[in-house]
Amino acid sequence: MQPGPDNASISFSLHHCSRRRNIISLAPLIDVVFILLVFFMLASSFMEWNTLSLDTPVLNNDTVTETKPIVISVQGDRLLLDDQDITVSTALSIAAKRESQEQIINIQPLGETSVQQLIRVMDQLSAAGITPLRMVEDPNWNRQISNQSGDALEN
Amino acid sequence: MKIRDEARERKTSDESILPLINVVFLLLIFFMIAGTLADAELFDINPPISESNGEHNKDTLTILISKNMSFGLNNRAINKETLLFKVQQKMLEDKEYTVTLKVDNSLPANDVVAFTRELNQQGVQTLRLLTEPL
Repeated sequence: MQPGPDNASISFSLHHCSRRRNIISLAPLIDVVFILLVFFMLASSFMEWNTLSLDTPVLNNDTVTETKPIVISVQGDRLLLDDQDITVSTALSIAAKRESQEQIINIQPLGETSVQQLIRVMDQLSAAGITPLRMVEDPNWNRQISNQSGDALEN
Repeated sequence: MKIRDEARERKTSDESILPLINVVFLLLIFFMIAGTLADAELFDINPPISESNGEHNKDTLTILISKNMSFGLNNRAINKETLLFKVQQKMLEDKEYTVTLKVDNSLPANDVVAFTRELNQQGVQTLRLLTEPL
């Protein structure tokens, strides 16, 4: 019969073993977790995009109402109605007083008006509950481009 | 005596790092679950800022238009003619399919309006513009 190890030596070796495993495993674990954390922080995006419905003239061709649409032009930060400067509140009151709620309001960007400036005006109108909005082109827009390219060729 | 002190020091330093690991783990789990991995963008596009709150459905045909009027379809560069042809093909398959436009806010609005008209000519019925919330 072999003499077994005494209790003191067992407890010592177990204690020693668990301490060693602890020391070895913790630091690389933290490293890996940190690297994963940095990766997910840099790679993830929390941006929630929204969308805006775009109504276009062609879409509504079959439902054209008899009333002529009101055309509000946007030139940079200015609003124009029949070539006259109007304020946003004037535009809102004109839109509110129109003959019928079906009457479409055309928003027409002029010249180099950016998308952001157009969307801002559309936001203001739709926030006031003016709904049948659609975007129409500036008929002079293409001509301006061709003029610019013509100028460039001349220069 | 000295050995026991060292052992105690090591033990306390190990234990004091545990709350840190807990917090780091929590942060890791938060970023893994709450964040979606950002797609690499084809163009650097800043969509217009708008108060609109229409939902953005990702299962659509997404057309990108960059600052210098370069076109992209579902994050791949494409020329305008091929793009319009592909849109037309898609519309023949499913008339109700939504097309989402992601355009830069500095683009002339007339270019975008003209392009939406061209899309309508290809049979696009549901067109949405991607916007950034305030």
